[in-house]
Amino acid sequence: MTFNRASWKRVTQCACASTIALLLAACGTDNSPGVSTINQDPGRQGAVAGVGIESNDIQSMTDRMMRDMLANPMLANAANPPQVIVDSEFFMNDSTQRINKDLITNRLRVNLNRASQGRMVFVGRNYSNMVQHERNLKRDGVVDTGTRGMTAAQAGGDYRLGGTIASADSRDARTGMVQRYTQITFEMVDLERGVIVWSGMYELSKAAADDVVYR
Amino acid sequence: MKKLLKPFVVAVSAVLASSVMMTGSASAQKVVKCDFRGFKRLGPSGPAIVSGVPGTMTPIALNSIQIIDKNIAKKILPQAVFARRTDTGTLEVMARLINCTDYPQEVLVRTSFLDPDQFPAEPETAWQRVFLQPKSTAVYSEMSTSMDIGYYLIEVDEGE
Repeated sequence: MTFNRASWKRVTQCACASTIALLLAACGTDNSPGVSTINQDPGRQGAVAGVGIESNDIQSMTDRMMRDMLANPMLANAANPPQVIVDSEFFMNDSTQRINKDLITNRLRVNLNRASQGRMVFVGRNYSNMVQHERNLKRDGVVDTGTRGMTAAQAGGDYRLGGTIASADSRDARTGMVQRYTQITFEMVDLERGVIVWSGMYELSKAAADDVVYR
Repeated sequence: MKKLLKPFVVAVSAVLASSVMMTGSASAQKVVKCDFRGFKRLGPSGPAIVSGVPGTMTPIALNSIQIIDKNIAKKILPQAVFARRTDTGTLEVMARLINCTDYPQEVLVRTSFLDPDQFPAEPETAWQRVFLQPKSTAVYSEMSTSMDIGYYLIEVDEGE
């Protein structure tokens, strides 16, 4: 097969036309399937919902635990307000869902601290390095003692939060439907005697066949 | 005979009148209805201390349950509301709901706690999901975080 001048001209014309068509298609890409930003109430189920723990569950469970703790006389009606540690150090995630445990413990601590109004004292154990650094500077004379005076040691905890997130999953191979039962337990442990002075539990069971990934 | 009948007629009419009054005062809490015509007629308003125009909204009774979704107003019936103090002085409210349908129902419930001046004493509670089996009751309970509670309002919405 040989290409004469006319054939080359036709091939060049076709290539140019295809390139222009491709360029035009790229410029006019239709983005209509996209979804614009939706502002959502974190206390209600969001637009993307699966079978795991979501924002509304976190709000609901921490709110319930906080209110229950404040109704417990050992925690919220003691003559000397107890010093409590609420963090995720001993709050275990044994469930199949990947979740940042701090979402739960931070909300619980912050709301409990705001609502307790001195009925409990919160120890920021996660900030102990920061506190120790400042204490060393004060004792070395690098900085002054501040206005609150100095103590022999950092505050110790009377009670500390522990708990577990656990789940049981099941899947229907025929329909692809997934079901998950999630159980979250919260416990306040006496840090001297080891007894559990308060317990709370939150359970949820959800089923769906949506392709939702938690990450 | 006429003399004997007169007190009887008076008594019967008194009972009837009181029953009508009772029915009126104890009628079921309905879904809030807002009539915006008053606001429209009023036009743009300037700064004011009083925000409401009388008669434009159904008043919401406090210390009660309010069904905020029309879809469940004929399905879920609040049967009773209780309130009591906890050992730490906070307020615990409890509401008993009935599922009047033949199907399982799911509702979201939250409570607003107000101080004796009717100011919000704390943020509204998070929505709690309550499941009701057909023709059966379920109890919703919630506790305040503050002790100085004068009023409360329980709201029931349809579960998503």
